[in-house]
Amino acid sequence: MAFIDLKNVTKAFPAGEDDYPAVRGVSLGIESGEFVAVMGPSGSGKSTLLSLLGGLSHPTSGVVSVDGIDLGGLGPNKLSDFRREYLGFVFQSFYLVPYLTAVENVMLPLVIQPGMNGTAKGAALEALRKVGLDAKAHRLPSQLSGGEQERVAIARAIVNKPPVILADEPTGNLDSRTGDQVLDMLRDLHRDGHTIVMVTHNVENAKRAGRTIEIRDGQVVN
Amino acid sequence: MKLIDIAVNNLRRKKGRTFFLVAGLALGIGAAVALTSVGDAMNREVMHTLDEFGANILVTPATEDLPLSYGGMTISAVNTGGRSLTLEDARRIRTIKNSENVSTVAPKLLVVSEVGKTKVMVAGVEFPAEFKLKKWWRVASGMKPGEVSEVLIGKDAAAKLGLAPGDNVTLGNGTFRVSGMLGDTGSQDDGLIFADLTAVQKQFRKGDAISLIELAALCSGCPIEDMVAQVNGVLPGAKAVAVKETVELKMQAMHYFHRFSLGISLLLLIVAGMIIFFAMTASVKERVQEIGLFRAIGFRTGHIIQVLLIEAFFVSLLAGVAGYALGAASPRIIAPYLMSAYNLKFVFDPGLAAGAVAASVLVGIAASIYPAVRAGRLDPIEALRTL
Repeated sequence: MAFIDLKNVTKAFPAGEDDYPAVRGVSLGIESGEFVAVMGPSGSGKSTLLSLLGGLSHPTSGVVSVDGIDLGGLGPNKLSDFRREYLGFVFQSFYLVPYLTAVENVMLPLVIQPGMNGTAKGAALEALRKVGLDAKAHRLPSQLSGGEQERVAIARAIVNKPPVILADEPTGNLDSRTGDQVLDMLRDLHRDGHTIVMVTHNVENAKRAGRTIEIRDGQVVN
Repeated sequence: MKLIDIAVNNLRRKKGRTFFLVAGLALGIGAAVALTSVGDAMNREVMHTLDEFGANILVTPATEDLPLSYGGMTISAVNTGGRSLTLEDARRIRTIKNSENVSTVAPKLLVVSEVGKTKVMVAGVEFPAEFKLKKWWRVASGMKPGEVSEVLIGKDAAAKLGLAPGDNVTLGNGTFRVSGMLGDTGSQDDGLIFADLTAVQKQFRKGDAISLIELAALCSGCPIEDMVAQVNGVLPGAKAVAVKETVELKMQAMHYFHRFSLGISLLLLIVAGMIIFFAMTASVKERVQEIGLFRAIGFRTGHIIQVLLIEAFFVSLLAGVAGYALGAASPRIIAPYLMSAYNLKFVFDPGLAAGAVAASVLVGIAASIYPAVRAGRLDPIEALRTL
């Protein structure tokens, strides 16, 4: 069994009388330490696939497991604990909390981690240093550029040193130069040993990954 | 950083929204506090009036006879024999359970004396207690008696007996000096001569006897009937009765006002709670993505509920303090214009302050529980629509 393992996974959404299957019978495996790009056009089901990997939604049928843990068997709170321990999310829209400073945003995953009270700020500053933003640690998101906000989001994703980083169109809202910087960062994180699954519809971006999974109409085609 | 910091930062950095929430709840709490403190002040005013009103319990010797009255004319049992009261009885009144509610004990000895050919009633009294009991007494000419040999004379008695301050008068076996004359009281006091109780006892050879005891009882916390029963309990040979009509009517009006203000206060708290409920629900809707993010990065349902309830706690704590300040200050400013008939005095009431803050926190938290639980149960994928 692979580190991330999907077996015949289907995810359907209610649409009128019938359910619309966004992901249909997908089976795939991603090994620990891989950098995988999930490619496909808009509406192909790639983001739904990422939400299944991240335990943000349950499959309609099939089994999703990470590190041998069957995510379907976890209740809402256990799933929260799983995400905190195993995953770092990088979203296209950054999702920074507007009333918290950069360093406070990065600290968020540590706030609820037992035993991190004394060391949380140091770890957050260290993560910000990794993405080159330690000088702007005390700025609010509204005082940062789009690229800087994405870097804060990456710092937040890595601050608790999760084995897996899930990135959903991480360069979607950035200009090409800043987008390149973000991809370089993801590559560096891969070198540091993180397993990275990146959703993108950009072929050039996908080439940075070690493997590309192509998805169309909810099915893996390549 | 802790969960509390997330809540506090949100409140601090969204000052407008926080202000609106605090103001909404504070207005409700303030109005409730204002009503309660006006009610309390009116209550105190009525109690004060009760004190001014004079005696409200009359203690006379118990008699086994039928009432000695006919056609509105009464021959008092006070002087018609039977067991009389003593000063020791007056002292025993201070031992009743509600003795702290007894403001004045005024024992009296009534005797009839002749001045020239005219009969006059002499009341032996303890002057300090009597002046405290009869706040309407004014010495029209002369001075208050300072010596045991000095008497105070009623206006009608002075006219009939041809006495004026400075004159001497023989009462019983003693000679007394008229130190002052009372102004018109419109009561039986106008026809009496008031002398020191011990002097009257001595000059009329009455030993330790007294005719009756008048009590002024401040009885906001207990029914006057209870105190009457207590007095009857410690004085088996006496009969205590309550003089209560006017005061009781006032107390009844106060009781209605108290219930009315309680009802309105409750209504205001419910309205304030609804404001918090709707504001919290709107806030949760506005922060759906933020809550979705919290869930995605590992916050449990309980963590989200905690953050929102901490916010509600601080908002309602602030509102409680502001509401109390508002509610305590406003009647001081408004009351003189609205209720000129009352001389309302407002005092700091720590119980009311604590109650206002506690009610505010309770309403704030209770109104936020449902929105907070809903937020905690938000499906992260629904909240983060892009995934």
